[in-house]
Amino acid sequence: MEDTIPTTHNPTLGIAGEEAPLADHLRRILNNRRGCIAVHIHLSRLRPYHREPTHVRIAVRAFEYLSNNYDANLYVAANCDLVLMCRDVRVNDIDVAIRKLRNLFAEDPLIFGDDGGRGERFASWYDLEADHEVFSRVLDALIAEGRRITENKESRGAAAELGKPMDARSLAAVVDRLHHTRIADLVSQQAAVEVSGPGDGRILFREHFVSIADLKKRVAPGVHLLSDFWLFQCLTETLDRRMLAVHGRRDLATASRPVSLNLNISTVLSADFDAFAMRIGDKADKVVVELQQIDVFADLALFRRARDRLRRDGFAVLVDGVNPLGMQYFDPLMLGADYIKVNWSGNLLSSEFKGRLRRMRDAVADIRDTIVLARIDHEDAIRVGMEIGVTRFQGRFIDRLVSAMAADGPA
Amino acid sequence: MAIGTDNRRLPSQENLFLDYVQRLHDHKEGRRMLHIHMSGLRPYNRRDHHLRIAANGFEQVIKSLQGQLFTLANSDLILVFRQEAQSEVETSVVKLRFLFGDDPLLVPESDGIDRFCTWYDADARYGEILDLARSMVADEKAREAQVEAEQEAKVALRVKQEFGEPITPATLARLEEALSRADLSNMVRRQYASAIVGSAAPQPVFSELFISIRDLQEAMTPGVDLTADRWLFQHLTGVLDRRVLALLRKDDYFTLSGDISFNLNVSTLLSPEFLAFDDSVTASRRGTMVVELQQIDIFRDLGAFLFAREFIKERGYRICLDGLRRDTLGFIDREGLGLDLVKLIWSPDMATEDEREIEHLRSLVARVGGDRVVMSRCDTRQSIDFGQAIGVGIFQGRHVENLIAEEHRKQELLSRKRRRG
Repeated sequence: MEDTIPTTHNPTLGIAGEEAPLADHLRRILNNRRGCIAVHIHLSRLRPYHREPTHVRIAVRAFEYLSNNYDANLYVAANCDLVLMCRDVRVNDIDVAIRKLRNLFAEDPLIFGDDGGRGERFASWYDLEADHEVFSRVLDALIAEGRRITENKESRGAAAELGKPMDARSLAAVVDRLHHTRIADLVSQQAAVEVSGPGDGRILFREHFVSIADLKKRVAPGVHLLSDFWLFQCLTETLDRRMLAVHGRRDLATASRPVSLNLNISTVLSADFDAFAMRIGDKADKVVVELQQIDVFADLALFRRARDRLRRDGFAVLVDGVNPLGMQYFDPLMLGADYIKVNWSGNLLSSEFKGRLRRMRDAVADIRDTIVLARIDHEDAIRVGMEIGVTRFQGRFIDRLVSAMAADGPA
Repeated sequence: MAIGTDNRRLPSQENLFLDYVQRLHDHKEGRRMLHIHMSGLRPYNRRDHHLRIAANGFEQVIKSLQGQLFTLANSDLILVFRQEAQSEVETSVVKLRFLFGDDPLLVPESDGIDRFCTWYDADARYGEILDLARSMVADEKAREAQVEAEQEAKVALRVKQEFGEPITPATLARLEEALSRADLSNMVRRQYASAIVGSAAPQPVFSELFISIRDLQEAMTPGVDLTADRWLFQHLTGVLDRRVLALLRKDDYFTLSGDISFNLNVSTLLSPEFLAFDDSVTASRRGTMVVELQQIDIFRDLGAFLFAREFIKERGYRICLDGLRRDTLGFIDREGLGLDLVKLIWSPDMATEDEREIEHLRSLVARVGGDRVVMSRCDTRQSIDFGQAIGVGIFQGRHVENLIAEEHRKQELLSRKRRRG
């Protein structure tokens, strides 16, 4: 361990890392370590979405009781790991706080993939009377990590690049600009395929979409479009109308496979959509309409109206953005959609733990013919997907397969 | 028998009367019936206190178990009594005649027919009495249906008239700016979620504090429909969340009696503002607070929802999931999601006569737990009746507020009477 600890910076909380005071603490007790315990809680091993500032602040709170009532101190390292230093505190009392954290992060693969036994990856315990040396090395590693994070300016630079958070005022300006902007050249495509065997695939439909990065460049430079979830949703209502205007009968007549479009339910029930439906006439069967899960559940009656309206004209209906976790809580079969798009997440890969995979398989058994597993970036995802009985996929890894298929001949 | 200040709250009086008459069949001997046509009196003679005085006149007969009184929805009184009490009843009627002596109904006419009272011998005229009871039940049912239809139509019209221009991002920006300077404390409303069993008085379970969107709309953006765009409205609720939290931190809200609830977005629960609020609340007070989360938040980001739920549960708050409808109630695994209560929004189209549908709803409510379901937006009697029919135990809405106010008035009258001795 070094004598002087450099000041580190915790970019998540925007405060200094506490490696130096922790090292001080360790030094103070060096000659009287009786009853001293250190617990290292590896928040840095959680998924990024569980390492937002509030998550860390809330995690810190779980130790308030200990530090207020015992000889216990909590330190937050630059990488958001927590270290609890205490003396004469019963392991059971510490465990209460750790268990609270485990409950909070129960849906993180780090927790549900952890059997809580010897190989516990979430929390490491050190009896400082005996393991003092080992813990010193842990601290050294934390300090090195803290220094690396502090020197790495990239993370702070990235936030600046995202631009100013979008508020209602800037949304109004963006919407206004979008109304008068040509977007046809911004439309990208991604295919969804059905895999019937090794190397044997068929294109189901091609999703047409505008990438947020391209949109931002054209209509909202300097504005962080995704900073407010609801305001971004509102922006998509205008985007819907522009997308409908782009798609005409001629393109659909020549398309070999159906095209899918992301739309709000309010758009489907609007006059703009009626005009679109009229324009494309009998080519409606060449269009899959993707509706967002949140839009669907916000008002199921409205969704049913939109679904029935689409069906009547021959459009196919897809419910997008279904969370694999959510299928434990509701039955997507009740939606009566043609397709259900489930976003792949690391959680599914980790679902090999603790029988989660089996539960997933049970959960999707009835709807596996309607599921499209999306955001497939890696072969593993296809493997797990096939294991739970899914045969339809979409994502960057699939794009590679599709280009290989195209090289072999028309799909 | 209790005399309600609002006969409509005791609609079953007609049913009770019919039921009584049917049971009377086997021991109608020696019984008489008196029908007092209070409904024929001039309105100024038909106020609540007149009805009360009239009913009180028969208190002795009823207390000595010699008679049974029914107060009908049209204010008429029906007394069935043993003939031994005939003179006592007649004495009371004389008093009533004196009381209403100035009413045209009591002025004798040339045909000599008494338009105030009709006397029956239950044994001799049983068939006539039974027909009367049946027609009263039918009339009352028709009247109820009429009133309900009018009420529902009125509610729908009111909603329709409130529709203005749909909100736009630019309007929202102006509203947010105005909100940052406005004092919202006078827009905070309080509404009780109350357990209602049968026709007994509502028992408050907790009271919800909320900013009335209608008031906000009228005061700050007249002619604009703030709810027209779902996404902009959701954003607005996030802005209001922070204001509610700030208001709740003021002392006067802490001294509010009873358990309280308030609506928050999941994103608000994970904000520094909520952490600051949480710090300002004592641990014991947290147990009396119910945080209401919108079901839309589950579908926005289930992971964030589960995290936030775990956090506030551990801090001691109770959780209510708001925004369920008939068709989403079945989706919710209350225990799996760790919810203490769920709110089911009443809408008139929920009412059905279809026994299968009612049975289905009843099983959904039972699965959640009837005492865990709050039916909200109960602005009419029909909503509560229907909720009770499907097993809901707790109700909230304008009609519940009316019932509570009524109960207060009743209690006040009773205690005043008691003081007078």
